[in-house]
Amino acid sequence: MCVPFFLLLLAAPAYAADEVGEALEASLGAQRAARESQQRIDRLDAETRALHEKRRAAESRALQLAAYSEQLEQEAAVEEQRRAQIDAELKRVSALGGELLPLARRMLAALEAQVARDPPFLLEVRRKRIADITALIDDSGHSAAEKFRRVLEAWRSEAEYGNTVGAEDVATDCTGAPGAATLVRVGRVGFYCVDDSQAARWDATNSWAPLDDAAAAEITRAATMARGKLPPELLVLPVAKP
Amino acid sequence: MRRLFVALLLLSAGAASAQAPVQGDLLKQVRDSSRAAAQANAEREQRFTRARNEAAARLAAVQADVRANEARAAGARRRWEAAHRQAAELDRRLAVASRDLDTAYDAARGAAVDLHDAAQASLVTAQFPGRMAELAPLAASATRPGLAELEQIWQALQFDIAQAGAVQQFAASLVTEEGSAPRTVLRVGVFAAIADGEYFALHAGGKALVELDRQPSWRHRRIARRFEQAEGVAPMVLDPARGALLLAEANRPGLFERLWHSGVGGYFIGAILLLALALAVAQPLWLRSRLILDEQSVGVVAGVLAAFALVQLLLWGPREPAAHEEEVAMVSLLSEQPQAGDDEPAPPEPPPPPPPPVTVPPESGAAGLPALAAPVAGPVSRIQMPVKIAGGGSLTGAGFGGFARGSGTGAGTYGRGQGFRGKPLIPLSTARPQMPEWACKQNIKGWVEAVFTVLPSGRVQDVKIVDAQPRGVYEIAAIESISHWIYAETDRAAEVKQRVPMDPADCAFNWR
Repeated sequence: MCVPFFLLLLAAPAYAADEVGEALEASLGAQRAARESQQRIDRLDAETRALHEKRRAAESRALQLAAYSEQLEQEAAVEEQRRAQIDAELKRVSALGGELLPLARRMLAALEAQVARDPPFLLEVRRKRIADITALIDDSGHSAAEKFRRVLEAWRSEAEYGNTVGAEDVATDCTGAPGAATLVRVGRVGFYCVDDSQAARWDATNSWAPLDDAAAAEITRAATMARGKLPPELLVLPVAKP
Repeated sequence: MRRLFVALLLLSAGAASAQAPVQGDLLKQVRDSSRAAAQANAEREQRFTRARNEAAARLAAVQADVRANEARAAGARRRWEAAHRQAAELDRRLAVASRDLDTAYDAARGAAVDLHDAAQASLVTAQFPGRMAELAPLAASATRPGLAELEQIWQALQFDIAQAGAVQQFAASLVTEEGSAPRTVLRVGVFAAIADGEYFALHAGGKALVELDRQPSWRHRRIARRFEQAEGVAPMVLDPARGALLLAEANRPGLFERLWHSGVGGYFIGAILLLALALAVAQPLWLRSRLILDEQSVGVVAGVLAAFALVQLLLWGPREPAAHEEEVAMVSLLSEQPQAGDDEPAPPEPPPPPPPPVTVPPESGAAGLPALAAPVAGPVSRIQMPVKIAGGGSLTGAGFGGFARGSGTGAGTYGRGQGFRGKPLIPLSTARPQMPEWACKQNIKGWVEAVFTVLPSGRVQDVKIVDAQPRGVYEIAAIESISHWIYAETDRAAEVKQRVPMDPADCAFNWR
């Protein structure tokens, strides 16, 4: 008699207990799912971190490599430029081997013309120089470079005449008759002659124009100076204006 | 009994749960919330997955970048190696090919360098400033010149020859205090440049002209002016030293300057001169007033007295020593030969007897150098100061080298050219060196030998150490100290070699 009552009494709680269990179960399941999810997230996060770590390392390596290759490329460019220069130089040098002698010949011809055009100063020296070089150029026993060097030196001597004062004694007087005279060259600006009786200036028409006695004294002074027997001083000499 | 108790307990528990607020919604609620949680979790997971994927993608990109850069570096290295190998091979072939041409190259290089250097000191360059730009690369080139360059050198020589003989008017750029100004200048070869009776010198570097600070005498200026106005041939002043003599002429003191600078003797002579002039005027007037002389005789007496004054003037002029002294300022060597324990400057020699008016040793006029610029074989070289020195780069090569070679000769004496009166250069003001602390502590005694330039302004420039004892202690202090020395103003720069004793006693004066 007592048992049904109990059962009845128990029935309602039994129903409730079932629902609770299910809820409990669901709740537990959710917790488990959350835990598992969190584990996956942890793993993902660890992976992400590791990837970031790797990336950072790779980035710094990429930066280094970029700088390094930049530098290498610059060096390569410089080296290639050097190669190009040497190449060009080699071409020039190879070409010059054949061009040097014709150049020396041209320079020699121009030198002869220059001496012919100039006032007649240091004629012996300059003509002998030209004769020597002419002989050298035709001599196959010397290299083209040596021939060129000699002609170039001759030209340099010619250029130097423009900067200096020089004097020489000649065996003709200022009119060209046999006698003695002193020729004085003041750079390439003036060329003068003085002998016992007269003085003259080489003019644009390539002849001697007579000068007065004051000029003669000054020319003599210039000659003494040019020979190093007087300290250099200012000269006052007639000069042609164009 | 016990079972009943348990049942009751259960019942009460069951009743308690049955009494939950919304019975039956519980499960739904739990399920909903766990579904929401699951969704949230799924979203979080997705987010993290995305983050990881992004990170992976970025890593992949960076790694690709690394690989690209590696490839780039490897490529660059290959390029460099190839170029290097080829360059070496070309170099070898070049050496073989140019072996026979080296003579020509050396000659060309020498010519180019000389042309360039000469052009910097040539009036021609003032007219054609552009030619420096052509000559500079030829002179500075490290590679072997080709045909074009050789022709260029030859043409430059021809140009030089043509211009050296030219008398030409041109528009020069003139360096003035305010800057630069154009001016039409007449150039006479390489020997003079004039305009309106004024002479010009080459500014440092050669591209511009500068008016001489002091012009030569009125006679030279008149010659220049007449030459400018003349047609055809006219006398002209030519400077065989291409500028240096004009400068010396310009700096020669005039009559009144000499009178002013020559001290008591000059004043005395000047007084006699004035007296003579006064007599020349007063005496005839007085005689005339006393009717002792007629008018014609007045002129005679005045003439005689004027002639007396003139003779006085002429006699006085060349005897004046001050003129020469100022022209040639020499340099003292206060101590020269390194001697153990000799830290004192050598005592000055008694001055040599005054020279005759012209005592310049003869030197080749053709060389174009004024003899007064070269104290023969002396340990001291004077620097010529062409009006203005740019930068201070002029103290190179010959000057300094000559010095080094000469050291040890002429010990303890003043460096003097033949026949020149040397004026010892003694600083007006010396600066005490700032001694290094540690040297003070160790009580190091020593000296420093230095070479330096004294500018015309009296300032010191280009201090260089020649020797020191002990080395590496006081050099810096010495350089700094000497740089602040001040000498008397002169008209020339001078190069001075001096040994400065360094005494640790000076440490007491150190600036702290």
